[in-house]
Amino acid sequence: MKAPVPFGQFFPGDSPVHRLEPRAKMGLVAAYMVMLFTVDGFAGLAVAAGLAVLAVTVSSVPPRLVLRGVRAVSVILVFTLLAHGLRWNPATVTLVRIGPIGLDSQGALTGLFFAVRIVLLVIGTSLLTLTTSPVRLADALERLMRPLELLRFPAGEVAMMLTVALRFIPTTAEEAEKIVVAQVARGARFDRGGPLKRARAYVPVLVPLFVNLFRRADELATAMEARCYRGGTGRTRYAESRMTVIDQAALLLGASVMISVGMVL
Amino acid sequence: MSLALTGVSYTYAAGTSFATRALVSVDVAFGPGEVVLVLGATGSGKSTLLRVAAGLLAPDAGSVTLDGRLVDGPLAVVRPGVGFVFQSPEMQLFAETVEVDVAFGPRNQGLSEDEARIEALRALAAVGLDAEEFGTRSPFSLSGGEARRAAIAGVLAMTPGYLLLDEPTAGLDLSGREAVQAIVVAARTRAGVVVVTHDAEEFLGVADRVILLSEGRVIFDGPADELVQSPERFAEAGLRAPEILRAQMLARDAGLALPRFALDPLAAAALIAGAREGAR
Ligand SMILES: Nc1ncnc2c1ncn2[C@@H]1O[C@H](COP(=O)(O)OP(=O)(O)O)[C@@H](O)[C@H]1O
Ligand SMILES: [Mg+2]
Repeated sequence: MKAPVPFGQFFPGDSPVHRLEPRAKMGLVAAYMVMLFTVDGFAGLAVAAGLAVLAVTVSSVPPRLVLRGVRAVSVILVFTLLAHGLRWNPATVTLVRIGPIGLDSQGALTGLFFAVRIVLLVIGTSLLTLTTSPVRLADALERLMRPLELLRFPAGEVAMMLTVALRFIPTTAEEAEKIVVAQVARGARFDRGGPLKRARAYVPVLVPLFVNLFRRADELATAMEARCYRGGTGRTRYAESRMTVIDQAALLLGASVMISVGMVL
Repeated sequence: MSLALTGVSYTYAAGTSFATRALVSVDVAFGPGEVVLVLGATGSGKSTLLRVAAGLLAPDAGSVTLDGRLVDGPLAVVRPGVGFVFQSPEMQLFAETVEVDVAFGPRNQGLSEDEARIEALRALAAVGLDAEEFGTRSPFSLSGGEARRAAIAGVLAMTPGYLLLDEPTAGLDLSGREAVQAIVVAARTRAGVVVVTHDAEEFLGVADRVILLSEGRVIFDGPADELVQSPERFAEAGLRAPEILRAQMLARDAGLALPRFALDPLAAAALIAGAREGAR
């Protein structure tokens, strides 16, 4: 039996996209977003889409995985299309009309524009998490947040929380699966009755899961303190990832190209 | 009447580069009223064997029969009549009190509250937990050994005809291990018991029969005493023979004519002493 695990975002690989320093990658994704939000027409979106296809191809991540994120926001996409496309008693050219509600061609185009923008946004960010291990991602986040420490923002702690949380997701999923099997062996059923009964059926899984989680959190905290963890400040990194010249060049070039495209098109 | 595996093979992640052959044409049968010990090194396929027997995994080849009925999986449910004590079973404890937790299985089987309570109290007694003292306690307040026993009670309460236990003593202290051994011995009167472990020392004394697994194959299946008389078989399974047998092997290597090997320390001492008398 497999537990439905919505995680496992990371798709390990050795492509240039994988090798790019996480901070550079984040910078490029940020520039990509800027481009998406500054382009005014379909020409700009076409360039952005081309870049997305190029990046996905180079990353050798199966497109199926990238599109999984798009499927997750499909409701939003439909809503965007309809919100822009549907008009009450439209005066302009109408494509379809059912009673007073009509699909307006101008509105449909606007809706399509926004929808495509969301799709590309999702693809860009998915590619970041698909090609960067969660630990490196948290690490990069911490280093990007480091300047905020001057404003007393606990960047180190937040990053440690992220890293620990990410580290525990697979174990917790595995444990949930084991508990489910053990309770099923004691005759528990999760597929019977109405929604309330089904929700209640999960009590025998959730209670031990959370109890174990809190216990483990407590143990982990004690063990970390015993090894002199006193919060983030003053800690050194075990393996600092470094931006190479290639990373810097890729970031600079890529970001300036994308932002210019956004401004021109 | 038996829980029987015939020509069973099982491969994890079949067809991928991660494929692992966990069981290779295994023929074994477990009967009621006997304690069968399945011994093997880590990764030899012991847990897989139990899972296939319980119906949690469907074999790639071969078949599983329960008291003559063919059962084909994978059922999402452990077969009725088969109790499965998973590794670290205390993970399954969830209810407010130990008694309610133990009654969870019987309730799921459709017993009334009173009937389930009777089964729960009987099961608690069978694992040596005093219902007066432990029944009303939170399962999360128990010690490691007590929690393990409460979890086993939760399976026993369903009155299985076959009881499968995967590494039931792992992580317990001496008194916890002895308590679990006592449970296994007592369970024999009501069920066929299969105990899986990598520690040869632990259940050899109470087992009627031993199955040695090595790399997914059965390399020995016979009475426990037959294995005791040929301790070199342990090494074939990548295991260490119990210390007491190693000592007697060394004595025999040193020239003492031991007529047989004994698992019981007193008996072993008597054998060695007798052989030394004979040598003079
Ligand atoms: N879920 C799984 N996926 C892939 N391989 C597995 C899985 N479970 C066990 N294996 C592999 O199958 C073999 C037998 O495992 P297992 O039955 O758990 O052995 P044991 O219980 O004797 O330690 C091992 O090589 C193990 O790595
Ligand atoms: Mg195992």
